[in-house]
Order: sequence, then structure tokens, then C-alpha cells
Amino acid sequence: MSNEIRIISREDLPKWLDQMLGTFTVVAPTRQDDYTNFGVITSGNQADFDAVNTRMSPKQIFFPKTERLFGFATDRQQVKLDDTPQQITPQVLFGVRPCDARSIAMLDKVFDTDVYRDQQYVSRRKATTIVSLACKQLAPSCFCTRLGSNPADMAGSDLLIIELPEDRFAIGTLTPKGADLLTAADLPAQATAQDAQAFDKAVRIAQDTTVKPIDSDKLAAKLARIFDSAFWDRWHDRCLGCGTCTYLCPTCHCFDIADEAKNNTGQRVRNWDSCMFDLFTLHASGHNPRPSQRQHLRQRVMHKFSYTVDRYGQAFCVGCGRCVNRCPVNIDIREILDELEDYQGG
Amino acid sequence: MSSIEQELRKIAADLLSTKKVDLVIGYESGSAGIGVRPAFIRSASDADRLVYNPLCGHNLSVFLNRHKGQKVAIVLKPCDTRSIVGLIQERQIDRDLLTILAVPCEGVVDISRIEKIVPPDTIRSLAIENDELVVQTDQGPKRLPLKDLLSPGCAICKITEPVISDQVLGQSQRKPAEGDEFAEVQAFSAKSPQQRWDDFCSEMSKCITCFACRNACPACYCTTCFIDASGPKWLGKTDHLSDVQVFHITRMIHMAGRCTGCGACLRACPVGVNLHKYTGKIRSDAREFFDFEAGDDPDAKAKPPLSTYSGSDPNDFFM
Repeated sequence: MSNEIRIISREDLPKWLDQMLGTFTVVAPTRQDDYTNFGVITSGNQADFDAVNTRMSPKQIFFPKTERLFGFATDRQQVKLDDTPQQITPQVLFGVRPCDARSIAMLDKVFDTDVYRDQQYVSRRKATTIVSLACKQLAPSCFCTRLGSNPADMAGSDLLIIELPEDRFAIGTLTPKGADLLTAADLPAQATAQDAQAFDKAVRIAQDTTVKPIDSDKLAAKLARIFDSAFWDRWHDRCLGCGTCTYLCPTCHCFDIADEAKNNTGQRVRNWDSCMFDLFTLHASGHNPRPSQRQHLRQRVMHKFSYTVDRYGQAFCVGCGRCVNRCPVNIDIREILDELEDYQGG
Repeated sequence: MSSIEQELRKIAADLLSTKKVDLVIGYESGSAGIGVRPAFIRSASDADRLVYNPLCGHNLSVFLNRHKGQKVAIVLKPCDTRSIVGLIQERQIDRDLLTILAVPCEGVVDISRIEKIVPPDTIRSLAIENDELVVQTDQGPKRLPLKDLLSPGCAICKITEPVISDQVLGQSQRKPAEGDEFAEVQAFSAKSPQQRWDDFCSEMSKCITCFACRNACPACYCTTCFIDASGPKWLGKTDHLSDVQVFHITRMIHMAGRCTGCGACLRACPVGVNLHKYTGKIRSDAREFFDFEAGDDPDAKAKPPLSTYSGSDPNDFFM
């Protein structure tokens, strides 16, 4: 399963982070007012290991809300472009929940392919070691198991930490990058064979679920079939058309490109976009192929459960539950999935 | 089921079965862990989905502009009726097509207040029992007094009666809240310009510009919001603080004499931006400078300050 297991006590976790701070920028869940969000820490004690999910997903660490693509300056003679890449320093993304780590592996399929390789995204990914923290329990809004995942899923992680009894944590090595981080660490306890067994057992327990996962191929095919059906008639009734679901979503990755210029200088930027917005896919002519909230909401479901299955071989939803929790009008993607599976109309 | 719910379901079923309306907009139970959500009832047989309790925070009048030309009945709390008054005065609503079902309100729950006490990761369900909220968690039920969970505007609300209605359901038990409605605004105004600016910057730095505040606001009905003007683009949509601030400042100025203080923006915000403080300032200014409080006067001909001009308008704020 995993090559090497190490053991660390709860007390030593912040100390391990302090050690990393010498070499890396460390990004971890930190408390901000009423919730946690990923932020750069300056001391291991600032990290919060107990919140199930941060309010915002970690996607913005690799795919920021606003990304400068290049700068430009014009004069009468010429246009000067400045596409010097941003300085990217080695970083550790610590305390990511397995669902979020899995979402990063999904984003890789979009931004790091043979057809298109996003320079900034790929540089940040290469410079980042992802240390995940398996969930002790599912929050009421969690549904990772429905997406074929589990609270100790290893996809996207370099190291996976699982809590054992008595405030001890087992760290499993999943990639060479993770191994490097662990080798550099000065951790007190070596794992015993018993610890390794405990790690494997915890992983098996996490994988053991009675929840029937969605059949993403079947669902994608059904979605393609019912594109024009009455299934979409009512879900959008209460949709406000805000960007909460898509902005909080760890896998949503639509963007809009804009020039921010003053006089003759400026920059081209890439801002997050949302299929929920009226402006989404609005053509220069004024025509929008998705003119109302009905089409907007359908687009969100189609993109997550049909187009990505066709293109990348998997549904782009990890079941983190952020959209479920924060939608101001309780549009619950789990209910849409349930009804989709039962829907018999054409 | 409360007597209000019973009455509401009966009225809704009657209105739909007699075809007096095509649609009833009210509230229904939400999915697990989420109290209630807006409901759109189109047949009498669905009327028993309707619920009404202190979790019903949404200002449903926001949905009306999508149903222009239809006969709609809508469930409104006293403060929500003030939004309708504004929409009538701004000629956004055909009053003849609208049936207002006015329900009494003792104040609505602000979910973020629950989450200060009970971690959101553990909330399995919410239910109202008398004057308590029962939160089911993995560790068992927690009973919280409703009065400690009220949305900020509700704790200081003076509005006990609907300003406009067709059918009034139930009996309001509520007395106007004591205390200064604008205490938070006064505390803010008393700060130095630098402190006010720092406060505003800090609050705005939380904003992710998802526009939930705008989209939950009944007074934000522009066909194209200034921030969405794209041909040519008027304003930037980057995560730079100045872009975020320009959006909020412009929207708030547009709220003068129009914001009723219903708190829908506050409750919709996914990241807890306290807009109430600033919209409260705008409301208090509209009252002070123009002697106008949005929604106070149900006369369809009343003119909100942004809809009219007089030579004697205060202009101290000009250079």
C-alpha cells in the first residue's frame, strides 16, 4: 500500500510544521473568524487539524481567483509583452482533506495535459508537496463515498496522515516527493510493524462503506440523453444565480480573461468565472446560448457529471459538501444526483 | 405543524385550485442539516410542502421579477413587505397580479450564529420547538434559545406589522425591539476616517465576489448590473481589493432609500461579510438627509430619494 510509515504524536505535529518552515512556505487550514481557510502559516501552532472542511477549497493555491497572464505596454511603434513567470517557491500544502487532494489530481487533468500545459499551474504543482489528513468522521454534508472515494483516499496526496488512537498519527508515504519531505523530517518515533498494520487497517476501515457510488459512465450517458427533458424544469426555481457553489467548489475551473489596463500599460488576467452568472458564455453579439438559470444550473451538472466523464474519464465532484452547506437557497447536488439516478423520462 | 402552517397550506391550496394564482412562493423544509429553503408551489396537492418558522430568513420578494405577468401569491414577513412597497414604487411589480400572504415574524435565525456555538461540520438537522432551536449533532441534541440566534437586523427590528398585504395570517406577538436600531452604525461613524477605512478594508478582504449579496437582494433587479457591463467592460473583476470595494461601494450607494435592512444579503454571504454595518449607514443617512425610510410609506406614488430630485436636496457632501 504505502512504502514507509512514520508515527507522530499530536503534540509533535506543529513541531514538524515548524521544521518545514525553514525550507518551505507552509499552507495549512487556519481559523479565520467563524471558519477555517487555507493560509500561509508562520508557526506550526497556527494550523487547525480538526475542522472537517475549510470554507474555501485549496484550488486557489494552484488556480488563483485572479491570475496575471502577462503584462503589456504599447507606444506608437510597438507592443511590449512581459510574460516573466511569477517567482514560485517550494511549498507544503498541509492538512488537506483527501477529497480536496483528489480534486487537485482532477485539476491536473485540465491544466497539465499533452494538449495544454498551464505554465503557472504546473510550476506551482511541481513546487508543492501535498500532505493530506484523513477524516476521522464524515460531516453531515460530506458525500465522498457517493463519488467512489473515501475518507482516506490517496489520490492527489504525497503523504497521507491518519489519526490512530491515543493522539498518535501515522504518516504514509505515497510518492517520492512525499518520501523526500519525510526523510528531511526529524520525527521522534519510528513506526513499528504494528503501527504499519494500524495504518493499513485505518485505510481499510475508511474504504469500507455501504454507500453505493454513482455509476459515472451510466450517469453521463443519461445526462446526455435528458439534456432537453423536463428534468431541468424545477431545480433552478430558487437558484439566485450567485457564484457560491462554483467558487467554493474544489473542481470548478471555469475562467474569464480580461485586460486590466490604464493608458498604455496593463495586464491580461484570468479571473474565476461561474456558470451560474448571467454573463457566462454571453457572446459579443448579445446572444447567450444559455439564456436563463435553467440552462446555467444544467450546465453545472452536465459539466461535473457528463462532460468531464467524457473528456477525463471521471466525474468532477469529490463530495466535499461545500456547495451543499453554503448554497443560500439549499440547492443540494446530492438530491439532484438521487433524482437523476431514478429519473425515467426521456 | 403550527396553526400558521395549517392556514398557509389551506390558503395556498385554495388559491391554486381556484386558479386565482399560478404559483405560490413560500418556504419548505430543506435537505438534511439545512433548515428551510424557498418553495415554488404550482399545484394544490403540493401545498402541504409549505412550512413557516423562524428559520425562514429568505426575503422571497427577490424571486418576483422572474414571474412578471403571472399571478403569484407570496409569503412575506413584515419586513419583506417593505421590499414589495419599494418594488411597487419603482414599478417593478404589477400589484393586481400579486397576492401577499403576510405572516407574523418574531425574528429569523442567522445560521452563522448557530455555527458559532455548534461546529457546522456536526449539524445533522435543525428544528424549532417553542422558543428554542434544536440542533441535532453527532453528540446528541443541543437546545439553543432562539433569541440568541437572531439575525443582526432582527434583534433591533421595530417592524411588527406588514405595510402591505392581502391576507394576514396569525397574530403577531412581537413588540418593537428596544434599543437603537443604528447603534452599530453610530459606533462605526464615531471612528476616525482612517479607522473606518481600515474597518472597510478588513471586511472587504473576506469577500470572494460571488455576488450572493446582490442576487439575494430584492432591490438588486437591474437587468445588467454595472459590474456585469461587458461591452465595454466598466469595472474590473479581479480579486484586487479595489475591485471588490468598488463593487460594494457602488452597490451600496444604489441602496440609499431602497435598502430595507431585511438582512437577506448578510444571510446569503458564504464567507460572513458584515454588509449590514454599511447598508445600515446608508439607511440612516437616507433617513437623516431625506427623511425617508424604504418601505415605510405604502403609497404607490411615494418617491424614494433616488427616484426624484428637488432643489432643496441636501448637498453638503458635494465639494
